Amino acid sequence: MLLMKNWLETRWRLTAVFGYLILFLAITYHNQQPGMKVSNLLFPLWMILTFGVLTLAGGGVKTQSPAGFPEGLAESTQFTLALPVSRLRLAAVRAAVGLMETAAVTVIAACAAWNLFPALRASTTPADFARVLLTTLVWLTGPYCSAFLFETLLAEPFSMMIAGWVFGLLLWLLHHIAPAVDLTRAFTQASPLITHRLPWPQMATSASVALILFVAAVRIVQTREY
Amino acid sequence: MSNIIVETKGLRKVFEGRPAVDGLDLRVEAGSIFGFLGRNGAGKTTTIRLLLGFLRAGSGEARLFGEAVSGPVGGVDLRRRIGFVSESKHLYPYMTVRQIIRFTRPFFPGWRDDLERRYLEIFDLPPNRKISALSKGMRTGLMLLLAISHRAELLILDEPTDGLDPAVTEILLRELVALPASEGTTIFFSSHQLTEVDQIADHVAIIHLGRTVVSGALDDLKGQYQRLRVVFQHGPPPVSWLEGAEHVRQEGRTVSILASHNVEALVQQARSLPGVSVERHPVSLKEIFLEHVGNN
Repeated sequence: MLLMKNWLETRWRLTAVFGYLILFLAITYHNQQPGMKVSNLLFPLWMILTFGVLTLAGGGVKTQSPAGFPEGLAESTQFTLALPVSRLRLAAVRAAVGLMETAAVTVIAACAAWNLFPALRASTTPADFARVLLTTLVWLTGPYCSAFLFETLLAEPFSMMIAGWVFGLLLWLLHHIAPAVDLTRAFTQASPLITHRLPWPQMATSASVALILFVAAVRIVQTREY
Repeated sequence: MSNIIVETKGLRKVFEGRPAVDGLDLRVEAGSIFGFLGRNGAGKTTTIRLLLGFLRAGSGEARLFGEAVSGPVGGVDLRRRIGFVSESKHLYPYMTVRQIIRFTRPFFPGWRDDLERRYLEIFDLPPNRKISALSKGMRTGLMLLLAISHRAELLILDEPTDGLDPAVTEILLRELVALPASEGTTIFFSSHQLTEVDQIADHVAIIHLGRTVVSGALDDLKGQYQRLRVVFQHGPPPVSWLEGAEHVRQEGRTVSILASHNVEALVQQARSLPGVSVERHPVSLKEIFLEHVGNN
């Protein structure tokens, strides 16, 4: 039943993300030229997905409105908290629904791009494209969990903005301090399109960062007062 | 098994240096309808949030069914035995009545279809209407349906009649008063509507500035409290009244004493004074409330 609740709360956000993707793919499809650069397709797609997942991260138990406005202390949050469900489960189901939606939207976008753009098929093997897809899925858990964490602390839309900034800062720091695990390299020098293999260090770092952010969010949800 | 369903001892919660609940002591017996009274800001809602684990107590303890309320973590089993109607009466606005019932039911294995049908009918709840389109009275009815249909042993209601019209209020009170007998439910409800509390409660506690100032069975309190009107022929002399004189007020030649106990001795003391007549009057809950919290 928590799945149903979370689906009802995120379905319009998911629709909005799909809307942006369809718009982008339609415009790009309409304007595509023979020999178009794959990066001109994949980079904007990656950006839309990254920002899209920020909106899919309904936070913990605090924000429960499908429109994204915080319901707050005196609103339906109290009804949720009075249910015989642990806060860990509330947060975990919430995160799971958002991540499943993220995965769905990413896979559908990838399938659509593969079928709509001959230039992509001509320059990339299915195996490499599958690796890019997998890398993207793991990468997206980072911004998602960042937004998930900040949703537990702040009201929307500030939570999304702060989550974006903080995750951007983290990327910048990794880029300058720890190039070996620089997450952006997964889509540049270490991209499967170039190396023909999965960027394991970047994927491991993404997953670790996401896990840390998720654990922090759950800890906050478990201990904070409502 | 303990007969005490809700118990707090020295419960304290401070917000930004100001105590919202300040050493609160409460005992609610099984099967009672317990009116939890206080002015706005007295600490009623904070107490309820502490009982439900939404807040952590700074000190003291709160117990439900004899088990310590352990704060935000845990308490899942306890919450299965509790029905809660919040002050705001907010549910998920995007769900329909049918959807929220379908959502809530699986959390409670003891869900009663007959009660669900009964409250749908009583509060005239259209199953396919969105919650955002329900009136406040309907939302209260729906919350009550959700709280009662799972056979809650304890019903915690925060200002349940706030904002309701008299007709819905009457229906609500009638249903509440029947619950302890029909379902064995204990009802703990906060209110500042004294007439409603007087109408249905059998036990009350009045809190002020986060502390219990009066507590007990309502009939006992009404029997125990009396107002003495001592009329002097001339101006009243300065008197040090005996223990039990809670509040003494002088109006011209009349001294009005609210006595919480020791009434006979106070009457004797008054009669021993020269040139007085003494009248005894029963006291309403409203008078007790106002004497204790009304002037601050």
